Amino acid sequence: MVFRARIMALLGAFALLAAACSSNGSGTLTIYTSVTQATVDALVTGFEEANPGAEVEVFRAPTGEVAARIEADRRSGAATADVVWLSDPLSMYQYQADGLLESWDPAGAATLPTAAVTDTFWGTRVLHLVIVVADGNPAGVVSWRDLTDSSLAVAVPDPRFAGSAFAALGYFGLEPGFGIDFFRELRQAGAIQVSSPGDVVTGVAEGRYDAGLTLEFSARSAADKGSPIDVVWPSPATIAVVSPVAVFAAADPIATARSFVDHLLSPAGQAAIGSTGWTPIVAGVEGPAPPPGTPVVFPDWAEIFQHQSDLLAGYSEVFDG
Amino acid sequence: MASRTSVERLGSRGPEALGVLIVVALAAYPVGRLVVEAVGDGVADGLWRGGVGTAALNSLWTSASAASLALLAGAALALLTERFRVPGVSLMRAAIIATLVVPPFVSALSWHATYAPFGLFDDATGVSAAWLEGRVGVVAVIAVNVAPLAYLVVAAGLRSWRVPDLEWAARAAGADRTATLRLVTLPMLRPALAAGWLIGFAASLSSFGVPVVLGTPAGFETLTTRVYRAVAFAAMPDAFEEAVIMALLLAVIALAVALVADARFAVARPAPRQVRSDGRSPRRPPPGGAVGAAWVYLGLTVILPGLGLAVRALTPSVGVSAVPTNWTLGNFTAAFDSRTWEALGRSALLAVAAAVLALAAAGLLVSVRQSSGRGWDGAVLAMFALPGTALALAISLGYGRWLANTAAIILIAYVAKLLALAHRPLAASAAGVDRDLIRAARAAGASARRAWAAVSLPLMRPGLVAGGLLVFLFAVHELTMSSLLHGPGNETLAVVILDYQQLGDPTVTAALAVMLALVVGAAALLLLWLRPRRVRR
Amino acid sequence: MKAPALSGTGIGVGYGEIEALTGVDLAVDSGELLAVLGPSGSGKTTLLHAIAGFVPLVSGSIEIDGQLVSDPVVSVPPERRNVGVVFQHHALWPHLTAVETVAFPLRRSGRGRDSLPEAAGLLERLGISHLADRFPDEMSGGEQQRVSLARALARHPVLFLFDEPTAHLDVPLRSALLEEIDRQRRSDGAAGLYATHDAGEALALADRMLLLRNGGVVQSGTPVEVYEQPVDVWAAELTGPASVLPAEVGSSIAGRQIELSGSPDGIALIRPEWTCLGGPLSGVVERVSYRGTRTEYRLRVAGGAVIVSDDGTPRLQPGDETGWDVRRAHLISRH
Repeated sequence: MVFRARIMALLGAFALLAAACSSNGSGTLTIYTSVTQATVDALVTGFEEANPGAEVEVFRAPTGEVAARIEADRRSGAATADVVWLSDPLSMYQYQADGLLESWDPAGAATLPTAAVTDTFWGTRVLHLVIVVADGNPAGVVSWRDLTDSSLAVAVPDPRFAGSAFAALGYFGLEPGFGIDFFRELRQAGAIQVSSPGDVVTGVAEGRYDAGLTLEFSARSAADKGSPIDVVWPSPATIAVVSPVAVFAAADPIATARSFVDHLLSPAGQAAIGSTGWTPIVAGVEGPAPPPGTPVVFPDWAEIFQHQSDLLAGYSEVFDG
Repeated sequence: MASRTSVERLGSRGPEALGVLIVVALAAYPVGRLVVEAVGDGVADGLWRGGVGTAALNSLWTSASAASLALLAGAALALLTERFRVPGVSLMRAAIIATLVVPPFVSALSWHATYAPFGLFDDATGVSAAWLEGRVGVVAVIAVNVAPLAYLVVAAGLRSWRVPDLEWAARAAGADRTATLRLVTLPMLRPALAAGWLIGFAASLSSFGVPVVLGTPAGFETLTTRVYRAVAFAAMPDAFEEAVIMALLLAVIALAVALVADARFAVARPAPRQVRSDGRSPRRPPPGGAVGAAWVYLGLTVILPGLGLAVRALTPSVGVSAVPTNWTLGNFTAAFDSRTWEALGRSALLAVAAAVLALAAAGLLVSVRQSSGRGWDGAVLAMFALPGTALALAISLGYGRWLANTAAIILIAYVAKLLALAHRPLAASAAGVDRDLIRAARAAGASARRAWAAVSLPLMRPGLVAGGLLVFLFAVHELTMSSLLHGPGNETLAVVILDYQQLGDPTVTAALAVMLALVVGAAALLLLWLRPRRVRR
Repeated sequence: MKAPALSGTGIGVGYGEIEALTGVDLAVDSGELLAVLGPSGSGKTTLLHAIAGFVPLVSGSIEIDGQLVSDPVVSVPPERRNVGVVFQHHALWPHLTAVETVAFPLRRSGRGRDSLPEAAGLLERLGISHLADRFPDEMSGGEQQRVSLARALARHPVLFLFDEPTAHLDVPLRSALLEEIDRQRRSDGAAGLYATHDAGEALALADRMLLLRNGGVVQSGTPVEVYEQPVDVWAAELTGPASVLPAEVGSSIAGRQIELSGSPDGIALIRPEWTCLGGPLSGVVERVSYRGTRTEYRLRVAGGAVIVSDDGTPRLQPGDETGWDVRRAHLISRH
């Protein structure tokens, strides 16, 4: 009996030790992000090189999970992220409204387009929502409207899962001529909801779907590796989503947090973003971009934020009920 | 019936209190917090919001169907390997248990890669399973994944009774083989069958990876996928509340079923070991075609999907033809960066820690049971029946303030969920130790503790190894709880794989999954090899 | 002449490389009880299992009631052999009550609705109707074995197989069960095969005996034959207390001229009851064992040791010198 108790005590100590070892010291910069791993790694490496001795911990997960993580942290009162870097501005509006974000003026903000600047968060890169089709576009898809053609097997990503998908919901939902009816038509034409933009690309590449709404990044990555797909920059416009970064007011090494944001907006940071496959926010930096002359539209996020419950309720009704 | 002297009863107070503490800390307190949270948020109207009712019904229907199918397959295979002389039986057993080694959600992916339209089978033969995405596919793949659990439970039941004598008595009394099976073997197996079904139901209810891969694309949602999706978009104010409520619903359903099954079938108590018959007689060869059918089943459900997954891992990108000339190792090199290696190491360490802690806790509960006569079997079973989703949320609410984002909180969740896996074999082993052996040691001059260490412990070693091995295997590929509890720098390998899958990168996902299966399989084989051989009579 | 109820020729059973039985011949007529006596591992249970049809034969053949039931090619399934089996560990089904257990074979033979009443009647005839609605775990060992016997009786088989049925019973229960078995069998006129390692039981019950060792038959004969003229020392020691002394045909044992029977190998078997205390031979008492009905003295004599049996209570102590006498002996082979 004593023997057993001793073992338990030893292991309890071991567990606590493990816990202690992995908890964040106050010198560590904690970043929560939904940005792709390769891009995050490049930025963090660059930051660590420019700031020797800096310790960075990254939690990378899809948008929804990051938001849930922050929510859970708030509920349980545990320490949360210092820097949050997302794929779409929706959650940022919420955090701003809740007073969680640090308000300041980063060095690189001057180089950003005004649309990408607020008091508490700043755009870092641009994501483009496009249509992915089979190699050669045999169905001849050119516009968003074409997706409602019932002769096509169409896939759309889940807005509650992927921030970019919610951007599409936000844009279409409030755009005259589309609205929630657009999604209703998609559903009636037989469109399938999958989880992520990557799933859409997979489905089209495997021939399960003829077309789908997805991120240009995902489609391009697959095509580069040999998948038989093509990208359509649809009319009337490609939807552009700005990927924002912010600092939490309660950030512990707040100076380090701020300098990370500075790094993101710096030429070196933007170059890293461009080289890992995303369109940088700052004009003139090397990186993938839509073909010249492609119509691009930036949705009104303040408006979308106001209507998010209605948008989601409407969407749920169409795709869940 | 074991008799306890008053001397043996001494000193049971302390360990008993410790046992209570373990159960409270691991389950009662977190679930309590979950209930409080759910009630505080105003439960009632949250429940019937769009689709929750449907999801609940889907969960129930899926779990019941999958458990029944799994029991059918598992029991049939157990009868085959335990009652007849099957050539190559160890290979067959390994194939049956192989599914336990692979995470269910990876299994779902491999089925998809192999049997879905435009999958491997389709490429090769033009035949595919259009029903794979949707309710039927979800049930089928869950059943296949849960069947090894049913197999283990029923096989243990077959081995522990003196069934050969009882079956022979029936034959001598005029019953042919079928009648014997129907009137004697199956009725006596009823507790084991009930236990197998219950474990299947609990595992199916908890299932998250399979419905997320095969159900969601067809619009088929279960409670677990809905909780995940609710948690996944917490910017919606009531999303987390909805998740908490659904988690509680999951917990309530699971515990209700566990309670009923235990009351009727005494599922919680491990079957008492009975003396085996002295007559040693050779087993008969199995009925014609049975072995063939078993291998066909194993081939279609385990071997072929494994191959499909491996082929996908070698394919450079989706949509590229799967012929060998296109094969590449690029996915493997892309997958194995420093993050992945760290995650692998972390998974292994956590699994080992979980196994050790679970064994220690189970050992304590087992010894407490022996001293005071009160069993913890019900509590342990309830902890196992609790769906991982619910347990993870509960633990996050209960311990998040202090332990959020640490490895410790994941460890707590593992131990809470997997305690049953360590407890059951250990309790059965302990029950099988003849008290006279311990008394002989005491009479020979050993103290209580020494007698226990020198006599009981070695005899319980098979139970210890079995329990530890099971906990390790399940912990290493656990996904549901890890995905909800991990923090920065604390990802397990399974979470990394989920990440890649959600990114929509199937080929890299497949490569990682293959590596995980190989690593875990190697560990399982090693542990089996190290297991002390049972003495042949 | 009617065919024997059971006859076996050259029965061989084995699995893998282990030979459990080799070359066993036996025959049991109706009404006869053959006791199979042997130590554990000698193959008694395997022999019974072969006759019941639970294990296949590797060589030889078995006929029940004149019909071939087992040979290496053919094996009639157990349910079609008209055999009643009483197992060592009772083998009662834990999910059936006593009356349901006894009704089971009746149902199998198509009695339908009459099964339960007939079963109840059988229990009454055996004096255990009070156990009718009890489950096995509510009965003592003796009660379980009686129910097991009732189950075997239910179908009025031509052959009973008893696999050490008293092995796990207390002594008083043993004799009660043995009486029961005897009575039932005689009233039915069925044949019986009784496997045991207890020589006393075998000698008391059997009409004929078979001694088994390592899967082979060592001796077969009536109880008297087996007891008084065992074929070798092993058989002698198996069947009762035995003393062995050097001897020559037609001459003397320990100096005493006596009549000798059997084949010569230089040693003779002396059973205790062939000796008495007091006589021309001399010995020193080594050990005294009081058996209740008699006292046995182990004496050290010229050539070895001998066990002398005497009625009454102990008269001598270890170390005493005494005279003794022997009336007969049986020349015996070593193996």
